[in-house]
This record gives sequence, C-alpha cells and structure tokens, in this order.
Amino acid sequence: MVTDDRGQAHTLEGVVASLVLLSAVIFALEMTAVTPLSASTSSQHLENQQESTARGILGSAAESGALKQSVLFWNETSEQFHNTSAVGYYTSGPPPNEFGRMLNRSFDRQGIAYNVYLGFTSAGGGRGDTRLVYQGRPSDNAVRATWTVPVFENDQIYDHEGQPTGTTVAESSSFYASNAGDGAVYNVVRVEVVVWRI
Amino acid sequence: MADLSPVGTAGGSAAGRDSRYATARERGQIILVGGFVIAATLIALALVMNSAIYTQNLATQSDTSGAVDANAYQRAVEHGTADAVVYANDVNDSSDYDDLEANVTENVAAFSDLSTRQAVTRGHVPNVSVVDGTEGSSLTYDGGVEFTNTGVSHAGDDSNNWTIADGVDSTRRFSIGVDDPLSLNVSGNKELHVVADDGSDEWRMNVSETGGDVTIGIYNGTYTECNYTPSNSFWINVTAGTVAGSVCEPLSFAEGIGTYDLRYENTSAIEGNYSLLVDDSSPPSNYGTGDHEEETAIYSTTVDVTYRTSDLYYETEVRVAPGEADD
Repeated sequence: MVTDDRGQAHTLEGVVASLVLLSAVIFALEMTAVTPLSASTSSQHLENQQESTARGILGSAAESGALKQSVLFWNETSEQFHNTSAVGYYTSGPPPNEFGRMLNRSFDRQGIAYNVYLGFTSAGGGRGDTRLVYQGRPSDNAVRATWTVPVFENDQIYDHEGQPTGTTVAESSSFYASNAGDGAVYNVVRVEVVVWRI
Repeated sequence: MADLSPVGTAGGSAAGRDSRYATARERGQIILVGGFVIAATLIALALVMNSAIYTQNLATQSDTSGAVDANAYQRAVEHGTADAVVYANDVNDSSDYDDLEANVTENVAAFSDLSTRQAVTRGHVPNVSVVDGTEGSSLTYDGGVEFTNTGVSHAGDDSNNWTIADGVDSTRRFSIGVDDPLSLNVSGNKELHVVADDGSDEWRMNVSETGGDVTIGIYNGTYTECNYTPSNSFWINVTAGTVAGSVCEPLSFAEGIGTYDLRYENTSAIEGNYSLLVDDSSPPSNYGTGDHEEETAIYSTTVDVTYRTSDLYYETEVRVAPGEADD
C-alpha cells in the first residue's frame, strides 16, 4: 500500500503550500499601506488643499490690505495685539479684523486648527518672531504658507476697530518689531500660517 | 513535467505495482508547485499595483522646488515696490526726479536685504533691485469748487475747456471727487467731460445729474452709461472704473486709444477735487494758478526679481505702476 503511505506527505505538502500562499498574501498586503487616496487625516490631498487655502488667504489678504492691517493691529497701551488675553496673542479664535474673518471662514468652520507667526528682523540683525494666533502644537501633518509684508516708517498702527490711530510704527515705543531697515523701510514681516486637521 | 495520465492509459507506464507507485509519487508535488505558482503570481500583482500607487503618490506630492514661494515673493515685491513709489511721491516729495528715484532704490534695497535675511533660513535666496523708472507728473486740485482754470496758457485752451496733459501713454490713480452732486450741470450738452483723444479716436466720459441721479456716460465709438444716486459727496475713480467704491462696468479708461491728449471740457459744471498721475514729465503750463498743481513724480518703476532655491532659479522683471487702468 505504497499510495496510502503517501497520504502524510500530501498533507505536509498541502500545509507547506498553504503557508507559502499565506505569507505571499500577507506580503502583498504589507506593500499597500496608506495611499494618497486613503481616507485618513494623513491624506496628501488634504494637506495640499489646506496649503493652497492658506496661501490663497494670505494672497487675497495682502491684495486687499487686510494682511498689513493685521500685522499692525497693535495695542500700544497694553503692548499686545488688540483684545487678546494676558498671553498677548489669540488662542481660541481669529483676530477680530478682516484677516481674522478670512481665517475663520476658511478654517474655524471646517474644524481645522492654525497658528499664525510673525517673523521679523530684530534691531541687532538677528531673527525675532511673535505669535499672532496660537492654537496649540501642530500635528505631524501640518502644512504652512508664508507671505512677506514690508512695513514702512510712516505706516500707522491700527486700533481695535481697524482704523489707523495716527501713530506710526516709527513713533511707537511698544511695537513688537524694531526699526531694522535702511531708509524708510521699518521692517519686513514674514507672516507664516501653519494649518493642520484636528 | 509530471505525468498526469491516469494509471493504465496510453502514455502511462505498463500496468503494475511499480508504475502506479511512480505516478502517485509524481502527482504528490503538484500541490507544492501550485502553491508556489499562486504565491509568485500574487506578489507580482502586488508589485504592479504598488508601482501604480507610488506613481499616484508622487503625482500628488506638493511642490518642493519653491516655485510657489517664488510666485508669492514676486507678488510681495509688487506690493513693496508700490509702497516705496507712493512713499517717494507723497512723503519724500522731492521736486527732483533723481532724488525720488534714489529714494525708491534705497527702500527697495532695504526691503530686499531684510526679506533675504528671513528667507535664507529656509534655503531660499530672493533678491530684488530697481532696473529703471519712468518720470511722470502728479496733477492735483483740492480747491473743492469748480475746476475752472484761469491760468491756462496752452494753445487752444480757455479757462473752461483746458488740456490736462498731452502726449500721454498712460494714466494712473485718476480720481475725481464730487463735493456737491447738485453742482453737476444738467442743461443741454454742458456737463463735465473728460476726453482722451489720440487724433483719430476719442474716449469721452461725461458726468451729469438729473433729479438726484448721477449718470456717468462713456462714449467710445458707442455710448454706454452707469448710474449712481449719491446722498452726499462721492468719488469717481476713473482708472479703477469705480463710482463711490462700486464697479461701473462701462468705465474703462481710454480703452482702445493710443498716445492721447487728455482734457477737461465744461469744468464749471462740477465742484470738487481731482488727482491723477500721467507719464508725461512736462505737462502743459496750465498749472500753478488757483489750486491746480503739478509736481514731478515717479510714474512707474521696473524691478528685477530673482528667487533661488536648490532646485530653482527664477528671474523676472516686474513693472509697478500702482493704480493704473489695467492694474
């Protein structure tokens, strides 16, 4: 009964073959982890979209003058941005000006968090920065967009209603950036918006 | 290849214990070989799928070369240079064109210096420098009454119909303020006209008032108009095409007109102010009397913008003339 004797060998071969198949299936599945089209918070498409939105907001705010107004939205008395708490920057919502309303329309209502930093050159030539909006530490999937805003010595600081106060940045003793430029250029502020999904 | 023929058929070995043994022995390995073949197919399929996914992944990667940043920088430069031109014209306010241009050059260089310092921390090197500028004239009147000019000396002009500038290629920031809408004359063809005439074609804007409604009529071969009902004083921004801040669709300044002469007609039919900049550095000697003033100004500035990253070298020239009709 030699053929009956082969029964065990068949079983063994079957087991080995199934193991080979199983490992091939596992290997093939491992090759496709998270793709750009997977619906997850790490989607590349979403990041691209958020970056474009942030850049679009900066561009249109710069065009309408709202970005410069926001950069100069400074309370000289309390030496912080208008209507902020003791920390000096906005934490739970956007700044109460046109740039803030643009951020609110695009991000706050979509459940997207953002930070806005203002970078400038300090009087000694080094780098300084201050927070305009800070909603927490960005996630690993955060994206950013930047815009450059020149500030001239005769640019006026804005009051909490968005009207020029009549005090220029050069006259102000408490403005966050100091006079670092030659000629009539007071400073150049780099507005950086960092965006991520909560 | 294994012999798959049934026992005892042609192709198989002769019937017998030995041949049956041999066939069964060869059939046994087909399971293992089959398993291998299917596994290899699966992995090959996965490889093909994965390369397709990788391609998609690459295709959706955001731009890393800095081309978008270069574009953003260019737009920031346009704003910065426009600010520098406005600063030179309004604050520096020198009567010498070279002084004005030196002022713009200095401020653009300061802007370039500071913005480069910030961008180099990310490995980007932007630079901007002034290439040249166009001398022009700033023409203003802030008397608040009729535009009638008793100091005209340009040939063919009288105090009521006079030339603003001649040989003009372009005009920017042209706005007319109407202090009293009821002053806009309504009788006959006596309303205020602004005329741009290149010798063969004519662009004409008239401003009139009927029963509290102001009509801005544009004649450019054909006649079109827009209306506005003012409650008090308002501005017509001629080059921007707006009336009291709202868009006036037909108002497209000097459209289709070559190098033109610009003139007012029936200036007694308005009470208000005007201001404009023309690229004519020596306008007619119609200014200096009353509140009609002429000052040397920068009409436009051309800057050279470069933006360098490790993967990109971007260079372009940008002409900046804030408030031009096609701005």
